[in-house]
Amino acid sequence: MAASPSGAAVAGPRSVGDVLERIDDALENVAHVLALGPGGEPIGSSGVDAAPIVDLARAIAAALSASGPQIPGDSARCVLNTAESCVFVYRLGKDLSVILVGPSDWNIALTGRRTEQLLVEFVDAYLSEMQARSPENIPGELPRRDGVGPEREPSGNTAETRREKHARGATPHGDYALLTRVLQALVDL
Amino acid sequence: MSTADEALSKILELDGAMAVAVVDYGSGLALVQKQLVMFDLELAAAANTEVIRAKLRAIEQLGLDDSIEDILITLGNQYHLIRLSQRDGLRGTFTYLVLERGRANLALARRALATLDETISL
Repeated sequence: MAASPSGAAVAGPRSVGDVLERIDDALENVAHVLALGPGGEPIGSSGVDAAPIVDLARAIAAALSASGPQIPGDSARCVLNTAESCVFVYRLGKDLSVILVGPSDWNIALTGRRTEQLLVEFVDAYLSEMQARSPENIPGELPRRDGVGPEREPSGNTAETRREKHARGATPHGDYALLTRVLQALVDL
Repeated sequence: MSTADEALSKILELDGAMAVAVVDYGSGLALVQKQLVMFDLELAAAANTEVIRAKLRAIEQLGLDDSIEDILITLGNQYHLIRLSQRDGLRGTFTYLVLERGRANLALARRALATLDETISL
């Protein structure tokens, strides 16, 4: 399934959906790439079926928010490893979250690097779209993680379709349900 | 046993040694690292994790029923020596050593990595 930003207005050279597709293309074995906006609503996704992970993504983002001052700065990265999945949640400022789901043996270091190069573009695309929708509303700057390297083109096998990649990276939905319950319990503490 | 810092410092005393790291090849993350020259050692560790995974898959597909002791990659100006830990307590990790090709003694480097594997305490 192609990335599908929910908003109609697209401004600038790249849209949120384009950037999510680029993140998807840059990663191996990725099952889902999902972005949540203010209030936890999905603003774009790239995956065979993103619906089952929206609740999980919201729960993790909420857990990060609930940590509040215990997490210095406005942005954070959470990596959750289970026996069947590896879930990355990037909290970008107060508004945005980007969630990646892959296999449990994902190369955390490489996944982080490849993604973080594109997160700056993602934030820029999001701010541009917001500005295009409400020209009188000047968007604020979202914080950026330090040490973000130069943009690189994805180096994966272009002959492989996105659907094939997702099929390899996909994990049983039961695992998402378990993760959601665990994280909800953490949020409720 | 020696601390991680002591053990890595000992390795860097080798002639031509440039950088060394102990890396978890489950995640690609460096557990400890030390370097004498500036380069992106974390990225190198993550990328070499993929090398090890590919080689382990190849061995499995060939049905060799064997394990990797070390991997040598020879560049124009450098040697990259990778040794998978044989110790139970360090299973799933490898040591990654970068050496200057013109100065390094590979036999000594291999022995030094074997010693590090036996003595390092994380």
